[in-house]
Amino acid sequence: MISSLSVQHLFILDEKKKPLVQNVSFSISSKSVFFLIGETGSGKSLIAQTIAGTLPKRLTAKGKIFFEKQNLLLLKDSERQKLWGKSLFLMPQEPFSALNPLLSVFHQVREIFEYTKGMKRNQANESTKDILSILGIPYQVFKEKPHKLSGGIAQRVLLAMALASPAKFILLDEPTKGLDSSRKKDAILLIKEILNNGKTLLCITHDLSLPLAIEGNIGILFRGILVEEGKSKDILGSPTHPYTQGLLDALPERGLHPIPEELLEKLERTWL
Amino acid sequence: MTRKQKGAILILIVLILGLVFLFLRNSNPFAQNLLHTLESSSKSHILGTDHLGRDLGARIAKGAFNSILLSAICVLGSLFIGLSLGSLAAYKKSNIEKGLLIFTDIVMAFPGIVLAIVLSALTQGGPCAVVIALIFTGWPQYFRMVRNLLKGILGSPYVEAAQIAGFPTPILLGKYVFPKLVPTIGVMAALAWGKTILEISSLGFLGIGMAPPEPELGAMISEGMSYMRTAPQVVFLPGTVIFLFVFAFLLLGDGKNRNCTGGYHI
Repeated sequence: MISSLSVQHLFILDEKKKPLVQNVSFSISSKSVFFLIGETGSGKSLIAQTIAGTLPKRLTAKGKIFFEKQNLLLLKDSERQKLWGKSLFLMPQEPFSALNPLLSVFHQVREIFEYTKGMKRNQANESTKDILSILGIPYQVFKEKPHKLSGGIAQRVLLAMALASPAKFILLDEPTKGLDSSRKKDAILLIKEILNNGKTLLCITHDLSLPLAIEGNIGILFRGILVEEGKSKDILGSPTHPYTQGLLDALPERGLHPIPEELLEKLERTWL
Repeated sequence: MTRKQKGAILILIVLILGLVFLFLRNSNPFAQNLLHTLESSSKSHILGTDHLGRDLGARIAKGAFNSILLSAICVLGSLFIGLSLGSLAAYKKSNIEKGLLIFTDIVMAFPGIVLAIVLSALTQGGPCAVVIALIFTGWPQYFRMVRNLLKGILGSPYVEAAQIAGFPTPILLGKYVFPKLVPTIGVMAALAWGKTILEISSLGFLGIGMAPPEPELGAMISEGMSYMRTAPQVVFLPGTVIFLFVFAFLLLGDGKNRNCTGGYHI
């Protein structure tokens, strides 16, 4: 299988040279999905920002990220801008702050077709209608501004933009944040839909129900260290690392046992 | 009716009344008739005459148009300068921004009215000095607001998202960044417009601005001061028009403000 993106020995340091992400390596084969799982503050969003090129200036990234035969960390700003929208797309978390509050839903999705695919207005209108109805967005909200949408619909609009984009590689940042479990099922179906369209996904989440429902690879991130990586079935079926076991025990289906403090302390002593 | 509409309608009414007065019989604001000075309302002069027998209605109308025109030039001029320098400062972080900030701090310390007096003393006087002085002291408020707003907007998630979605820069600026400025800057401009009319009238009262035969609301009040006891309309009518304008622009700005903040009064 061809690998689409490969991250090799990535370190992210803050201004005091304290490592926030340490020696993370993984690769994503094309047309598949990689789940980066971790709790809040484990550095998963930092990795996404590094790949997208929006890492805050005060942080420095070291290592290599290969994407389309280029090392993303060595690109100039102008070169990176050429990738944006054309071959790489970031679906941000928080749909309400990520959508332009002044433009209607339909308009925003149409712009993707118009400006990144270079379509004519009529053609773009048609494609937008198609894609919005595929994602089950009701016709009545097409002309609404984002603040009138419900959270689930807004999330779908973002997914529609990701699907509309010509980019083959899509970064999903917390795609199920703020969705209840029935909406989550919808989101899982939509992510599968995106995968079926031949896109490669890097999905950043703390929601273990996503990798349980969608087949792909998974990496477990703990305090900036990738503690376990492999096929999602293998890892979640028979976790070897105590942290992964703790995460799985914390799932509601398995009794909602919080990860014991002693385990976290022990892990921190041995790992950091 | 919303406040915004009330304000706009009030301005329109005053301007339409002004037009009516300019097209009436005896509507020359410059024609003197020393036999009929300081007359009150009559058939030939609806609002009466001033101390030189000129038609008060026509003079007030002409003065009102002059005020609106001058204040529009001042507001648009300072808006333009503030907007361009503010955008520049928001984009070019570094020394340009620092320099501009220090410069605006200096300019903000200038009192506009005093500057206008000095300028008209140095030059031949006339409306140019007023416009230059008011633009010079007017732009820093827009500059600061535009710079601060733009900094927030440029760092906001949806602009970043649009950037990564690959939109070309003109689209990004035109549809994602600048429209977000319009509500705030619009409110500021409407409120500043009212204030500018007041400032122009104050300068007119002091004798700075439009050259004498040309009517100016503030100047009319100052000319009429000596006849206030015998013919109060000479002072009160131009004063009322100034009040109506300022009030209407405040309504307009405040109404727009309420539109944008969902009813909160700031």
